[in-house]
Amino acid sequence: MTPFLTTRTLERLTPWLVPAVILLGWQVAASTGLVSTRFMPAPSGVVAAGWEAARSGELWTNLSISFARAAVGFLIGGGIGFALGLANGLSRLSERLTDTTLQMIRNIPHLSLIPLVILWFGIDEEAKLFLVAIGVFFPVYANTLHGIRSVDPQLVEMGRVYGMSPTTLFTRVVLPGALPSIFVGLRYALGIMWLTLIVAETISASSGLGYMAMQAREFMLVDVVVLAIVIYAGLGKAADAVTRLLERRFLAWNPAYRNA
Amino acid sequence: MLATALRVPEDSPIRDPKPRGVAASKAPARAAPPSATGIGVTLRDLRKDFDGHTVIEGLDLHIPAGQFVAVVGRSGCGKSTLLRLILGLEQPSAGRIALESGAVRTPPKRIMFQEPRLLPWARVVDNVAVGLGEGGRKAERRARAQAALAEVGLSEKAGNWPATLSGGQRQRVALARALVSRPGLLALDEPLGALDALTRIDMQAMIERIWRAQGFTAILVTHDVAEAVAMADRILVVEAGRIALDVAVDVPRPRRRGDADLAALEGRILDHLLSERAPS
Repeated sequence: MTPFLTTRTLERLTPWLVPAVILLGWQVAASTGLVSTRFMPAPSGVVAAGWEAARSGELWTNLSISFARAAVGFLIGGGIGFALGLANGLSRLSERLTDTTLQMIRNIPHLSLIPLVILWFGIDEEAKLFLVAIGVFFPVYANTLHGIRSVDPQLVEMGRVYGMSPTTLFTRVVLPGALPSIFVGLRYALGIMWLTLIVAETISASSGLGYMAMQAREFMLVDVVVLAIVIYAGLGKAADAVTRLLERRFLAWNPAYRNA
Repeated sequence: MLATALRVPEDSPIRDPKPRGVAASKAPARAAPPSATGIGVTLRDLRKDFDGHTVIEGLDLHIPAGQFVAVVGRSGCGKSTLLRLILGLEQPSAGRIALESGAVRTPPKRIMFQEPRLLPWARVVDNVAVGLGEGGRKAERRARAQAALAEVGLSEKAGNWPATLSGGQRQRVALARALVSRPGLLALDEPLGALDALTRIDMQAMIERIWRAQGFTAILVTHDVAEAVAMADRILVVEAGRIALDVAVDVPRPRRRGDADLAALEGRILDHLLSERAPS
């Protein structure tokens, strides 16, 4: 007779044990009236709210708006950060010209710019994109720069001695060497991306997930508020999973990532 | 003709290498394998300064094509600088470096470092293909890299990541990378220093075998006198930026470890190196 639960499936299930117990306890507490559903809806209530919002189309509209903002802001900020990180990592002149300035700006908490941003852009799209781009810029910039700096100079010398052109040297030695660090920056940036977007949408927006949550608060729709939070958690997890997938694909050579 | 015939056979280990050693920098080329691809090296009155500090001064040297030369000396004596000058990685402060080869197209110069210096993100076979330089058809590059890997006995590791290889295997991949382009000159900058004793002996034999088969000029920088004596045709002792001793190793190949002539020669060179430190 084979056991119902093999060691392997048990191992797979272990990480989900604690969340399941919490959900179950939460449901029981809500159903028995231990916790008032006016302040904390039951999981079933959140699922029902999600179903309702999905059916009316409201959820998808807000979700896609938030997703688009996050993506565009990320591409702009991350793109500039990556480009400047490369430039400053490869060129002393570029670094001396811009690094000090960037380090000074870095020390400003980007969310403290919100009042200024509202003054400049109102509550239009630019405000959100600007904040996300600024937030994402620094982790990408700093880690790209660090990655290029920490490429093994012995490998670079080897590449030169073996007659690599500057382009080949960059694509075959410098960039792959900087990649682990760039991925660290990417992960940080994704976290900051959601954080910034949520704050920005909560404070000043007329659409998006954060707006949906704020509106629900006005009408005391606690289940929708919790739904928004759960969706944020899911989006964060999804972004992390994508990064992991990319890491496993591009850093397969690195023993530290092979079985991650 | 007659005179030559009457001389003690050049291959005989009985011949005392001393007179030639004393006649510095005039060691004749001999016992070198037939060289179609080797690059000959001639240095004239070479000098190299770093920040006003002279590392190499007034150095004259001729290395015939196909010869296996070992350069030994204390740390900081300028032996690595000499190697880098010959390879063109450093520019001389004064003097002339001439490289000549019999081939129509001068074959490349390659170096093997003390560390393997493999690209961790490239498969073993792609690491070897780095030695081919740029250009060329992908399939042909791969085939040549595979052949070079076979030569160092690592065919079955072609698809591996370097991180999965042992230290000795990585250094063999580095050797394959250095050899894949059929170089005319192979510079070896203490390539076996980090390996354990047995692996090192295996690698010495492998390098010697491939050198005999391919006929490139080999310049081995090492601090291991036993290694120099076991592998080289000729040993240069560098001291304060000059060649202090130039000895031919007249022991036929394949050489046996622990051979009395080799041991005697090793002792002589060590004595010389140690006496450098003696107060004058």
